[in-house]
Amino acid sequence: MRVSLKLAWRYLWGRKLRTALTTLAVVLGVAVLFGMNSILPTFLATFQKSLLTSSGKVDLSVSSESGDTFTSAVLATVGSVAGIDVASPSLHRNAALPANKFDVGQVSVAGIDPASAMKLHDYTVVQGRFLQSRDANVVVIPKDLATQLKVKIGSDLTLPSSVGTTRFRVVGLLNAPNVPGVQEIYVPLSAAQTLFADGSNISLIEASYRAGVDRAQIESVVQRKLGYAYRLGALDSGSTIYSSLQVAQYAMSVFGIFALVMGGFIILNTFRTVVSERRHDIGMLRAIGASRGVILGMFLVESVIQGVLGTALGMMLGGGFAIWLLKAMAPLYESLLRVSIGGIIFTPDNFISAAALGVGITIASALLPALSASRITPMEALRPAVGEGAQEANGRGAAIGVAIVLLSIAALLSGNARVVGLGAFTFLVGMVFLAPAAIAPVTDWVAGVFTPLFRGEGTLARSNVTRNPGRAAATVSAIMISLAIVLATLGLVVSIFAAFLGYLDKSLGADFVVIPQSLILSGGNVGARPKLLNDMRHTPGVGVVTSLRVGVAKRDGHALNVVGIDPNTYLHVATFEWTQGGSDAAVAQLAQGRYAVVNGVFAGQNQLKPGDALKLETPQGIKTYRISGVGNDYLNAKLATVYISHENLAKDFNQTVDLLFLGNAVPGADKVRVQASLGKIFAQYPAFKLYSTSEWRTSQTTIFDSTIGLFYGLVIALALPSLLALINTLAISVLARTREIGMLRAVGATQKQIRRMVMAESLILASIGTIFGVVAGIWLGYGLTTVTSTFAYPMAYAFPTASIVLVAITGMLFGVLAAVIPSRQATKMDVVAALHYE
Amino acid sequence: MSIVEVRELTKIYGTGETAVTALDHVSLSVEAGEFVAVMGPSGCGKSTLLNLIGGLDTPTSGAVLIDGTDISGMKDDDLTMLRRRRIGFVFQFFNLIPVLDATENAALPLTLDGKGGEASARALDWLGKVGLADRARNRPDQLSGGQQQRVAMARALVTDPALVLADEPTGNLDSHSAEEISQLLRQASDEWGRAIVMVTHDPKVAMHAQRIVLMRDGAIVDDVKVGGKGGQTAIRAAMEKAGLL
Ligand SMILES: Nc1ncnc2c1ncn2[C@@H]1O[C@H](COP(=O)(O)OP(=O)(O)O)[C@@H](O)[C@H]1O
Ligand SMILES: [Mg+2]
Repeated sequence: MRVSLKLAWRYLWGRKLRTALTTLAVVLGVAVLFGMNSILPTFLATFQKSLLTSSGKVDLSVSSESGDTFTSAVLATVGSVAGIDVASPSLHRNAALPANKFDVGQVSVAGIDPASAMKLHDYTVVQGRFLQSRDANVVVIPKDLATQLKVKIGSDLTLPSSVGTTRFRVVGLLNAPNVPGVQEIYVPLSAAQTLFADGSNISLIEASYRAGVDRAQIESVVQRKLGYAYRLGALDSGSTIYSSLQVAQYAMSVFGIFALVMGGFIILNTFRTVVSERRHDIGMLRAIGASRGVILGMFLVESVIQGVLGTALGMMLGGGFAIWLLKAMAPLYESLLRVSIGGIIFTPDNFISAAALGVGITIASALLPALSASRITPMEALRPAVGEGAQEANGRGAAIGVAIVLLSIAALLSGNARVVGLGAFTFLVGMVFLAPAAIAPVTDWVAGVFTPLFRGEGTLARSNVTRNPGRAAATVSAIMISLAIVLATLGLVVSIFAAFLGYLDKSLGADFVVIPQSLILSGGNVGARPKLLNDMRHTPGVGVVTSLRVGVAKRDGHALNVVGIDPNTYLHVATFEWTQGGSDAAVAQLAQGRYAVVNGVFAGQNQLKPGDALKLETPQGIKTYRISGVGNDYLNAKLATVYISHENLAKDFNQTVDLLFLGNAVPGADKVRVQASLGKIFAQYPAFKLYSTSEWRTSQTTIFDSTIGLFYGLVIALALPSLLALINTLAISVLARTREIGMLRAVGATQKQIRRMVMAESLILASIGTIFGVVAGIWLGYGLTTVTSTFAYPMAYAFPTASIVLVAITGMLFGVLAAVIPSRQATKMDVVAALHYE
Repeated sequence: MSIVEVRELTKIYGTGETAVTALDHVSLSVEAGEFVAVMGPSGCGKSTLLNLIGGLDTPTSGAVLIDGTDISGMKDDDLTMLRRRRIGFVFQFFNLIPVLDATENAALPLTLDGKGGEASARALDWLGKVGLADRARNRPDQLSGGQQQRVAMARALVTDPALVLADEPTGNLDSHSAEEISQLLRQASDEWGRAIVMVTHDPKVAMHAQRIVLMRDGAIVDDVKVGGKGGQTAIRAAMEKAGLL
């Protein structure tokens, strides 16, 4: 061990540049891992916060079935149920603002009890203060609204009231998420009750549960105590928020795994190079009597030192990068998503796993190649070779590679989502095996493109690449993996984006939509009586109008979204994206008894197909429906949803109010005028908002665009270290050829020619890596999309043309950038010293 | 007793059509303190023979006895010990560890054997004997090719082995350095009593040996003593026979 220690120390100290490069590889690997794992919880928390700011910590909401206000005595009933922690009453009404004074026509006034409401919601006050318990006529409004209304702290806001108008003084400004629709302003509950002359009535109770309670149990107790005149909304596994969070968590863990794979690969790659460079030294040591243990011990010591040092530095770098990235992105998020990114979260888990993996992977990365190096006979290792002789690619590796690639092609064709996803990863593995054998032919092809640009140096570069297929393959694999990951991620995001806009276009054939102010908690929305639908149908210029209703069923203890549709009119204004051989006939069938259309998420989660029986727990007991088709629509794409007829929803779920309307204008009608006429009707229904479909599409696109910004941030975090890894690999390959470059200089190569040679080599490697990376990235993206489609958002794969161009340009740019430092290193070389090297 | 006893040694590389018979039933013995030069055209099996004697490779058939012990069936660990303690090696390339200085390189076999305490002093002693006392703290890249080979010589001798194996030790040197190394090898045999088996292409270097073994196509074709009456002519005739002249 003493000898190993001494040798290790001497190699580390005597080869400072190389030690620095190797340690840098560890630093980068750990930085990627640690950085990502620091960013992820923060992003997740931010994501959570942006979704939850509207619903807060609300576990249960109670409103009247009719949408009317109700007596505040109900509050005591709800509060008395065991397991309820906080219950908060509120009164919500829309109020028209005087048109001559303000640009904003309507606001939603929320009369709240500040003490209890603050326990349930995060009201982020950016200026002034929030409501206090003894406040009278004061109001807190969103910052944006204040800007629109041109009011500030201390200004008066006049609201129409039962006695004419009432003046409220603005005391605080909020940073509220930008939910399309009418903005909410907050006043004390008693002030709102006076304003709307509503006695002591309220319109909503929100409550939170104590930790660890049985949610389903509490809900049934509350429902029993209040009866079916009250509607309960609960945050359960079926809710939008919950499923969005699951999707986010899934995406985050995919990123985490990528970070680990990349970090590990960078480190392994570097040590492979280091060990192969020291091949002759190992052979000599073995010849003069060093045992295998001594050789392994040497690498063990080196890897422990570099592992510990690199891991510590990597954590600092990754942590710093994470903090910087979050800082840099914070303004973006604040302006786009209206959420402030919280402080970075460094969990103990993250420290432990980064430390263990950093040191562990480093040691394994050093010992694996060292073990095989210690196995070769000293004689083989000592075989004299003046330069780096041409080496044959390993035929067995290529055969394994071909086998794995064939397997992954078979997986692709299997049609099973899990298998396709796994196949995409295996393809990457197969390509890594295949790369050494593929290097020579692909290089000939690629170099054909570059040789005219680089003349003689191009030919040299080409032979430099092909004579050591192992090293070239390692470099190519590193580029391939990082670009494939970036491309796959972009592909997935683009697919999600395209899928949602596609659903939007396809499933909303309607000219206009009418949605409640908040689509987030379906349970808490105020519905409309059939009169509204009738009024709309009788508006001049309006053609077919259909309404959607919502009920909640239970299945295996989980809440399930049940949407009521009108089988006669639904298909005139909207569509389903059918899967599993469903057709529009499935909708017509809904009218013929207890039939249900289920969406892809639900069918996927429960392995259901058309014809299967579906038992639902309804307020009328357990009812058996038969599945008539599997199809997706835009509004419910993310949620496990069951569609039944209005008739059945009324019979089994006591649900007769309309929540959402979709309508068409009569062909040839002036849509603007039709919308204006409808607008008049909705002036009396402040709970609803009328959009033309194109307006709505725009508002949805904006939300998507800002979400995608979040993903680009993560992709940047992945791509940058891979550039540094390429520089590292190239630098090491120049080092390995020091003597030969000295020889070239000695026989008259100019510095410029050497630089061009290194540049050409870098470009050849980068091109091959990019080509491989694009192929693997498309594949991986397809796999990820398929998996995500099956287990999260249903969607089709969108071919990411723009991302491919972007990735290809990035790859070539990496090639140019990566060559800068190593080519300088090569040209600055002292010829005599270089010739003496080793 | 002979320090090296090679019996019917055969080495075949590869199998089937591509099989190469590098050594074909070679027998040879080397006495203690004897200086033997092995000559022959490139590819005739010289290095293969040397590597088998040094336990760096295992024969296809036949036996190698070092000091009376058959090493052809030995396990790797035992062979490693044998090389460390009983045999010294000098190669043409890759002789020194680039990150260690001259003393440390020379001391390496002792250090590997856990004799750290005396290693440095003994290495310095040997560096003095090969004429490099003033370069003891230089690293290989600060030494000329000839000086590097002298460090390798010091390393080969530091454990006081009975046998030193040198595969073209002067192959990479200028004629002046080659002469110095040749004299050192001669001294190792004459003065310090080591048996030396050296592969060389250079007749001038070979003339320092006491005996020249000539090989061709994996077999020994001649074995002549240097010096004495008519020695020169005998050697010339033998070289011609081996296809060297
Ligand atoms: N590892 C090996 N695999 C296959 N053939 C080998 C190997 N090593 C040596 N040879 C062959 O064995 C023969 C003798 O080689 P070698 O002993 O190195 O010759 P010399 O040292 O006399 O030039 C040559 O034909 C050489 O090509
Ligand atoms: Mg040879």
